[in-house]
Amino acid sequence: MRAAVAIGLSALAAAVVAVAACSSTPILTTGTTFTAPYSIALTWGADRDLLFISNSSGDDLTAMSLCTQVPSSTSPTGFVSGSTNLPVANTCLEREDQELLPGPVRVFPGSISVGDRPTRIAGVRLLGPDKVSWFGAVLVAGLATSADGGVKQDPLIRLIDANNILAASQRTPPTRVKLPFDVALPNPAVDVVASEIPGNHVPAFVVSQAPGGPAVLTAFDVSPQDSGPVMQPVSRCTVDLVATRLALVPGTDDQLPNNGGPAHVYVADGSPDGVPGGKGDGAVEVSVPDMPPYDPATFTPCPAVRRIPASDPTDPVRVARPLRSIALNPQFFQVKSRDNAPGPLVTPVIARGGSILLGVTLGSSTLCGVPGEATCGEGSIVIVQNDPVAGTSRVAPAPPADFFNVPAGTPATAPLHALSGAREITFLRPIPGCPNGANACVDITAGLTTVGTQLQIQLGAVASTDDGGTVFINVIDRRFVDDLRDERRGNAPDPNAALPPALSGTTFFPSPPLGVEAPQLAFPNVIPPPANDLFTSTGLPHPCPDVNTPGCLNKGVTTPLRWILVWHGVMPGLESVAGILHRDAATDAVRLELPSKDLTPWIRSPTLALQAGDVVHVRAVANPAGLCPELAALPTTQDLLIKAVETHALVLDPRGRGVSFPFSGVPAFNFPASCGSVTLAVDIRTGSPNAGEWLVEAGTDVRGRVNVNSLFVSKARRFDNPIDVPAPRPQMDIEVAFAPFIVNGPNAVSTLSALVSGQQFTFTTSRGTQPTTIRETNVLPQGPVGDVFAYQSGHFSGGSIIAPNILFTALAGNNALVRSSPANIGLSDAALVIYR
Amino acid sequence: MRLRLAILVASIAIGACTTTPPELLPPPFGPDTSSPQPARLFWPTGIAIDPGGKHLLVANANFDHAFAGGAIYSLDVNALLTQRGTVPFSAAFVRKGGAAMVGNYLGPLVLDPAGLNAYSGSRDTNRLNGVTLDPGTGALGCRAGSGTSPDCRSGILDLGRLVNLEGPYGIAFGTSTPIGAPGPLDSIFVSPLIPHLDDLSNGVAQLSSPVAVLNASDPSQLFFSALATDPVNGSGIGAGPIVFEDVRRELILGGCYIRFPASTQGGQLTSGKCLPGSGSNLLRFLELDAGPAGFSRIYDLGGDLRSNETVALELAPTDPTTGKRTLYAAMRNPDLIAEIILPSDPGLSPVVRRTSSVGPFPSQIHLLQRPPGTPTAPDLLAVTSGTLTIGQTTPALVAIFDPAQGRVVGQVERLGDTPFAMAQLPPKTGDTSAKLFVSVFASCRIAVVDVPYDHPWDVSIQALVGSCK
Repeated sequence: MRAAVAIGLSALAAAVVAVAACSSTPILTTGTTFTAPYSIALTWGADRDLLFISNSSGDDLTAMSLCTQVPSSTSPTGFVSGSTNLPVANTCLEREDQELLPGPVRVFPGSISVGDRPTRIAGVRLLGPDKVSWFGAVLVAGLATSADGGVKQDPLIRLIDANNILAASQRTPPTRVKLPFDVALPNPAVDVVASEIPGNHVPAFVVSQAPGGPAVLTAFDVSPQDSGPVMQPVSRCTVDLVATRLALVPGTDDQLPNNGGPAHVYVADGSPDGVPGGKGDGAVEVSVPDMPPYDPATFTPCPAVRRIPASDPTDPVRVARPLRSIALNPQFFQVKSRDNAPGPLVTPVIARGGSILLGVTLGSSTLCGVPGEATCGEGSIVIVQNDPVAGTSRVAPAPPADFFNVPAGTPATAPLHALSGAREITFLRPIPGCPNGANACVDITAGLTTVGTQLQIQLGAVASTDDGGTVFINVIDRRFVDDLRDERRGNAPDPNAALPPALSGTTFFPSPPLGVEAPQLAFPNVIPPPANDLFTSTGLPHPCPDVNTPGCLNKGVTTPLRWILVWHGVMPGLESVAGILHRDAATDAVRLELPSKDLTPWIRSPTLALQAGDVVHVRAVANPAGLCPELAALPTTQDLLIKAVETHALVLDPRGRGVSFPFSGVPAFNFPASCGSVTLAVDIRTGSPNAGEWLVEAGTDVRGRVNVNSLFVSKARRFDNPIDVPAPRPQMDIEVAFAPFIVNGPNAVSTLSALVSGQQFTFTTSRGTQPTTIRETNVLPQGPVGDVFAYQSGHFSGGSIIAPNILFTALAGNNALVRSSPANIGLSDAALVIYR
Repeated sequence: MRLRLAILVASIAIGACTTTPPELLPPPFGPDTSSPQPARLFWPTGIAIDPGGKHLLVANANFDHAFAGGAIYSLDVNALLTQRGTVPFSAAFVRKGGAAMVGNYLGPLVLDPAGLNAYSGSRDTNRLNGVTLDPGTGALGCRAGSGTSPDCRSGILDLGRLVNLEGPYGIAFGTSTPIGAPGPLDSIFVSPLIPHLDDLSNGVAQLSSPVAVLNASDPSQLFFSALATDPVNGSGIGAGPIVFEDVRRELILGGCYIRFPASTQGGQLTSGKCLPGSGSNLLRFLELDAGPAGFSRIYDLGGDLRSNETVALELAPTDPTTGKRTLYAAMRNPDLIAEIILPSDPGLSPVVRRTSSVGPFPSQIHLLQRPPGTPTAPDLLAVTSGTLTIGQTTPALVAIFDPAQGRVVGQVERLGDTPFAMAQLPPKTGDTSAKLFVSVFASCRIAVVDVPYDHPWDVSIQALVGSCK
């Protein structure tokens, strides 16, 4: 029924070189500690904070000491905790600070067995009845079950006594490890969360769920007893959704009167392919006092639930956004002057904790294949404004609309998406009191390797990303903190930060024969264009005067891609199709029967649009040349015109078509009835002037088709708001524009006619942004990642940095824990440490 | 006296020159053919169950070459289902006539859809092994001229000689259209684990990996072979797992196995799995309707998967609403389950929708089948993982993964050393749990695992049958 708790030994293991955007000298450690570390939780011991990390593919936790003591003349002990301001003993040794708790063999980290797959954990900070004694507990959600005679029984939520673990690891005096305290659940716990406010009774919440069943939300009361901390269920109800995460409002803004605990608990809704504004969209807020009293046999729906959609009616195509991770903001200053600002100070305005919900999206089937949605929408970050008092919410407005006073009709901002999908998210803690004013409440370092730039923003958040990184979000500006935009050289912005995404030179291959002109690829230019601008000479309308960059490349939309325009390009999936060519006796049509191939997907594809006017090439003929010399004589590079497309056949047109500039001609071919039925393999290519003779490929996707002297404008989903714009930009915005161009002059027809199937333009686009990212760079593979946890303590303040955030990011994929100080990256040797 | 001694010495010498080393046949045929050992499991790998749910076929891979061949057993499913706890393997589990000798180094074992023929490749000889199954009695025979029952060791085909296919591993059933065929024909597809060396010049190896397409009615007949990778496309890397996609009628191949000249071996080729962290994970889509001209579209998903070692593929049914399909892939280093969306629009490439951590060293994945008539329910995947033998010591387990929640919702451990393949008892109406048979490679056993559909966290071992002792 209960797993023994064992402490294995520890030592700070070591790390590997860690580098961030601004590289710091790494701290090296050694050892082997983690097994897919994922969840991170904070609690405390008698004289320190304790950080626990769950090994989600294993069956144990790892713990770390964080000393907290700060000298204080008002404390009876002479010290207070830098993280709580409560009196604390000065017994946490420097050599223990930020070290993993050791196990019995003290050169190895302790392994705290808690049962299979501890995927989520929560820390509870308890005070004894004297309000002075500290008790710590860790709640573990995993696959541990009770057992009867070796047969698995109920799933469990499991409580670990943190003080006992600390004492056992210190061995002075020798302390036996206690068994965990277990409470049965109806199904495996998905997540657990506890109030961060210390107390004699601390509320905690567990959501559990069976596949296909409703989510069961259970509220617990955690309290210290003589035997150690215990937890008792107090209320329970169900929610009809796929629960992925729980969250509470940090601080005291959402507390019930008389230390009654959180008024609300927030449940991330991960229901796949849901309804916009309904199930599967965003999160729900559950009223805690309205939860029915606990009855182990009763599962009634939660009576007071409010949905907080993560999609918005102003989205161009509204798609429900299920969430995998959520975080609510701590209290921060909406308005405040610098403490030492001259002149009259503005009246401070405090933004309530819980007024912003950040969510990391799961994917939606509808978004698979949408340009810019590289992962079906998975891993994007939504910013939702929430008013728990009024019971309203909305997706934050698109910049430059004011974040706090949203003009009516302002469209919603698009979700942010880093270089790789985000997985977990949390807010950074604002500097207490915010002495430098509302807009300078969170310290961050950004900038390129050689130019580290310290900056302060109003409200920051961080997300772990599946490439092993930790990215920063400037929440109020609704953008990523960016090494290019936020870098300063001297006291001025980096002049390169304003540059648009780079557009490479264009190649055309294979080159046409000597004496024949090649077509050109014309990109819209800036306005006013330079003299002899190619695009201007096309006479085509400028597609993006508002973006006004070469190629309409658009920061926050354009992604790094290799673009290829193929003349009469082969359609993906139709590179080799076998069929039987014959003349239909009734109609005399030349038919290519394709009994094994259903062409419907290619006909219906909006980007491929297989249709009459397209062409085929013969790849192989099974018929000996002697039986059909006309067909055998056809070059394999010759286009054969398609007259009609059927589900399982192509009707070919032996007459071909003539040139009609800017549309190409297709030569005739001869296929007499005497050839009979010929088995052959063909590929099928673009060629129809109605749909476009060039096939446009972006990466491995087809974006569409375009004709000579026609404009191709590609739009994609916005992923960031990295530049200041005069008016909100659309969520689906232009990413690139171009036109294959042949001058309509005396050589036009010869240039057009010289084009050979497969000839192609190639160019590349860049992203033009560089989200500030902390990562370990010299270990492969990177990712996937787990939790990112923001910790703040006056114990780690110093110099000009006041109460910086310390981040812990779990690298589940390469079994490591990154500890970073975002305010000091590049400035301090201790800013990055990797525990492994 | 000297003459007699001379005759004796001469006799010994002659005898020594002419004696053929004894052939150590696998149980239950040897090693001593005059007194054969009872049937027992030795390095079981592939496992398959007939559609009627009566016979469980197990491939004994003879991984250590202790015998002169591997063996396929046909076991009584009902007898296995009555076992509880850890029990020895009993020869009584083997159907009468339910043992056949085959080649070594067997990988996955695949039964054809009718449940009449089973196939597995021998990676040392490049031969395709085949046995027939009598669905009534469970007796095995040799398929398509691969020998005289029960000695099927000669295999059906030497795919190495025939089409340069080395290390036959992945096997799938489907349809293909050879050039000139009036329509799709039932086919067997075999993929190579090891690339073929086409040419080695100036220290540069030119490699290719052909897929053999065989006539399912007569697998000794090659329809055609087509290149999944060649020196230009995909650098010739070898494949591992394959699945047949029946809507677009393509073969999907994963895995990565390479050969390259080694400076320390005088330029001789060395070989192995792609190095972790090398960054590429090639998913290959091979067209099957143009015979040997079939084109292989290659997508490198390494940037999204962050692993290049795909060890298993499993294809979910087509979503009737969107036309999309989910391809599940298991990967190592890091150990992941990936959900890859195959868009219905052929203009779009596969999308890695999500990766999730699973147990260490995953081997195979199996999409749990629900009883007939069950309302549409979320996918549940069973994943074998863990190894004690291959330089690692990790828990050996079967994990139950819920893609809707993106997490493991149940697991059972202590199966033994290196669980590998799974076969599910065909579910019947009213079944509340899935029965899985799991081959446990290095523990010489079969695990019977029970997975309750509605509470998969209670997944449990029903029986562990067999041991290496």
